[in-house]
Formats: sequence, C-alpha cells, structure tokens
Amino acid sequence: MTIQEARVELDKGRMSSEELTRAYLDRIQSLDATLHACLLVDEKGAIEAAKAADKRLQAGETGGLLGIPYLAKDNMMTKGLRTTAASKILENYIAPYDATAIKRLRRAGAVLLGKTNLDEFAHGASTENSAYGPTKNPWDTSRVPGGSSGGSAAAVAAGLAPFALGSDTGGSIRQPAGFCNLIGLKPSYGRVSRFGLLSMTSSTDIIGPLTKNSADAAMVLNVIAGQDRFDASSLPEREEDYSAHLDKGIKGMKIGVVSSHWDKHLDPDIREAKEQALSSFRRLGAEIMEIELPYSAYGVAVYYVITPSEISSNLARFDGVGWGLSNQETEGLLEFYKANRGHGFGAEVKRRIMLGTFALSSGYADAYYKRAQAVRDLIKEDYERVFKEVDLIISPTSPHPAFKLGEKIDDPLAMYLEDIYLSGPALAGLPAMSVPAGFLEREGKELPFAWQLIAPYGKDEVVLQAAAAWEKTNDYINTHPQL
Amino acid sequence: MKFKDKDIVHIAELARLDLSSQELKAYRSQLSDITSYIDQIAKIDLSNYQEKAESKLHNVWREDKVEDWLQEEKLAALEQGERKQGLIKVKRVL
Repeated sequence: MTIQEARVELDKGRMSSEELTRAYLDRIQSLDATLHACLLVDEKGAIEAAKAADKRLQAGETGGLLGIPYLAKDNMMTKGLRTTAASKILENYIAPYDATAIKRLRRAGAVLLGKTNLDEFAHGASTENSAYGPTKNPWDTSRVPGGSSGGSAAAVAAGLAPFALGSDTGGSIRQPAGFCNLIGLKPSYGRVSRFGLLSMTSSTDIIGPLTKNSADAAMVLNVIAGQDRFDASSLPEREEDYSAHLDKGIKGMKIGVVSSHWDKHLDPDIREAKEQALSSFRRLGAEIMEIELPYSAYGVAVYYVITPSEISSNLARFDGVGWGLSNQETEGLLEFYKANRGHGFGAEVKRRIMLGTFALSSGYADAYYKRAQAVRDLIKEDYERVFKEVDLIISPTSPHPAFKLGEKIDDPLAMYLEDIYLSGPALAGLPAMSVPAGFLEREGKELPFAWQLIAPYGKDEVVLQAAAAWEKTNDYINTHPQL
Repeated sequence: MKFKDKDIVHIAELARLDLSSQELKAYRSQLSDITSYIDQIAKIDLSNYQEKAESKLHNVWREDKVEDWLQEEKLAALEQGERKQGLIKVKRVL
C-alpha cells in the first residue's frame, strides 16, 4: 500500500492503524529472512504507537502520517532502541534520544516498525559494507539493493512498510531508490534536521524519504522538514505544504541535460530510453536544453577527499570511552583506542578514516582538502550559472542497473564511481530525487533504472512537481517485484 | 600518490587504528589507487579562484539560557560505558 492508500483506509475507519501495523509486521516476518532489510523490529513499540494513533483517529483526527507505519535507517537515533549504524562498534548501543526527524514523525502519529540495514556508518553504495550481512534486492536477490540506504530501499520495494527514512550524503538515498524502483528524495541541505543522524559528512548529510510515489514523498517531507534549534545548519524557511505543488505540471519548465552524462559510460539500454523520456517531458510542455557542468566531472574526486576528511573527524568520537565496543584488556589509553577502533570498524570505514586523515594531515591538507573545497565551490558555481537558464536538470541516477552481490566489493574505486551522477548535487546541497524510469532485462530478470531530477538550492517543491508530472506519463511505480 | 609502508603506518597511528600487516598492505595499494584518481584535481587551474566569505546561514544564535538535561535521558546516555562514582572511567593516560 502507498501512504495515500493507507491514509484513505485509516481516515474512513475501514482499517485501524493496529491492523495495518500487524499486517506489515507479519510481512516483515515472512519475507525479511530472505531479504535481510531490517536490523531490528520493534513489535512492542510499534503496536503501542499504533494503538495511540488509533485513539487519535477515533477522536476524529485525520490526515498526514497519523497511524502510518514506517522503517528508519539504523544511523538515526530512535530512543530506547538499539542503534548500530550497521557497525560492530555500536553493536549494543541503545539510543538515548530520538533524532528530530523521528521525534517529528512520532508527534505526527507515524508508527516506527524498526530499523533498516545500511553500509556501515553509511559508507558505501551497495549495503555490502554492513557488519551484519548484506541486504538483497527484491527485484533479483542475487543483486545488491544499492546503498547506503539499501535496507530502507529493499524494505519499501518489498512492501515491508509504506515508506522508510534514508540518509543521503553522496547518493545514498537516490542510488538504492533507483535500483529498487522507488522515489528517493534527497532534500536540500538543511531542509531536514541532522540532529540525531549519526554524523558522516556534516556538510552534505541529509535525511530523506524512500516511497512508492512522489505524493507519498511530499507527505513525509511535510512532517520531517523544518528548522530545528538543535541543528544550526537547518534552514529557517520551508514551503508550508509540499503536496500543494504536485499537480502544478511542468508546462513552460526549462529542463537541462548534460550530454556527457549520456555517453558511452552509460548502460546502452538506459541510454536508449533517454530520447523517449525527453519526448515525454516535451509533451508535458517542458523545453529541453543542452547545458554544460564542466566541473562536475571532478565530482567523485572532490567528494572522496571531502567526505573521508569529515568522516575522519566525525568518527573520532568512537574511542570506546562512554559507549561502544570497549576492549578492557588493553594497557594504556593509546592501545585502548587503537584496539577498539581497529577491531570495531569495518574495512571501508577504516579506509575512509585513513584517506581523510591523510587528506587533512600536515603537508597534504593544502593539496587535498583545501583544493577539493575550492573545486567544490566551482562545482556549485556551475549549477548556479546553469540554473539561471533552466529550472531543472535531468540525468540518469546510476550508470547501470543493480549489480551482483560481490561484484564490486574488492574494488573500492569502482564502488566510489557509482556516485558519478550523484556527488555533484550532494556537494552543492541541491534537492535531488530519483524517479522510476523503466525496466531492462538482465539474465531473465526485470531490473529497474531511474532518472535523477535536480532543482536549484531550496527548491525541493520543484523536484516533487516534476516527478509528479513524469509519473502521469507512465506506470512504472505500479510495477512490483515478485516475491 | 604512491604510499610507502611507513606512510600507512603513520596515518594509522594518527587515526588511532590498530591494523594487521595484511590490512596495512591492502590499504597501501588501495589508498595509492584512490589518491591517483583524486590527483586529477591537482591539474585544475585555480589562479582566478577566490574563496567566498558568504554563506546561506550566518551566526545562528540562541539565548544563552541553561536548560536541564532530562535525568532519564542523561542516565541512558552516560550509563553505556565504564563508570565509577558518577564519573566516566578512562584508561591510564601516562
């Protein structure tokens, strides 16, 4: 069920939140052993929340996310529940408070079912870096669901919840959404509070929804967006109602495409779908224009200097003192730190910490970190210049459909290149959304692929508006994996 | 950038990471490959680049008013590590 469909059932009294919640808990029970999308299911808490929502519904309250079940990526604090960031270093850590996004959802009456799997500390593009085992793609269980929000994507695609929260730093909502035939919205930086999101890259981190359609994404954004006094980087203004923009259409909208995004590095089946897609946009009244974003070619290189640098700083807090894995057998503080971190963190986490430590170290900080920040400014300027001419940019989300489990795990650089279309908007803080764009066949299985829609900074409603218009031209969102 | 073994050992020390000899070898080759890819940014001409002083948000303040932490949340946060007499235990420093 989509959020909208569940909303109708709940508001009309045809179904209670408790019934809906139990139905999703049962579905998780029967399907998740295969998929491994969830790291934790909180049956008791979910039923309690559902009962509380039912009381509010019975009292006449309707609308929004009241009574709607959901899952949250396990890098968000959920009070009283184990929160691991899919790492051994937090194996037994209990969140002492709710992230602001979680608090807002609780206040709105949404029902938290549990926490989903991710690449450890959100470092990855396949969910294979989880210390608790990978998640399978419901469209083909020999393939990855993408990452780092792979658990959230697999869960919503398999109907384990009407929506899930993910986080996106360099593609971690958009890419798995694209691999799983979902809407994946990375809001503008600052649109949703980062308070309670375990920090990764503080200058790009953002929480966002994975949903079956754009209307559902707008409903979630309505609840989670807004200024938060606990996050000084959160934006002071927002649209009052993101759903109000969904039916505006895109007549007269100027849409930019970058020719290098559609060249030989893109899967030929996806490249073939480009012209038909652009024709659909033209028929909706949009004008397509060729644009150039020359500095975006350096997006991945810049991203993999800045991200590991901020990671090396943010993960310094995991030292075994006060929380997390703690080896008491060591002698002295230095050995204690090194043992806890060396054994508690997985390979990719350590790789990024090392890369970042190097990029910020004496003698190299100018050539790497400072230079990368300068190029980041140039990337941002490219977008600002282009958005004077166009209202929206379209690119593919990923250069290919979901790859096989194990295919890229031994090649870190190949994994980093998954972000080729996604790192630019992340570095510039732009709102960007992955929308289902069709299917292609690989080894007898239908695999989804997706377009990425990018709007100017702060204009989250524009991506929603464009996505809603695109959805009217096809039926991709109504296709589901066979499980 | 080609890393030597001693470079990786130094970085691991700075990052407070205990690594096996296998890990050191693997990271040496991986970090060398990754930084070789990153090194393309060295060629970009930044002679006309000027760091901007502006930003979207500036000096986001709040009243300097003490707000008590909820006792229950405080305990939940602090009780997950080693404690003694209300203080957090740390290994011998010197």
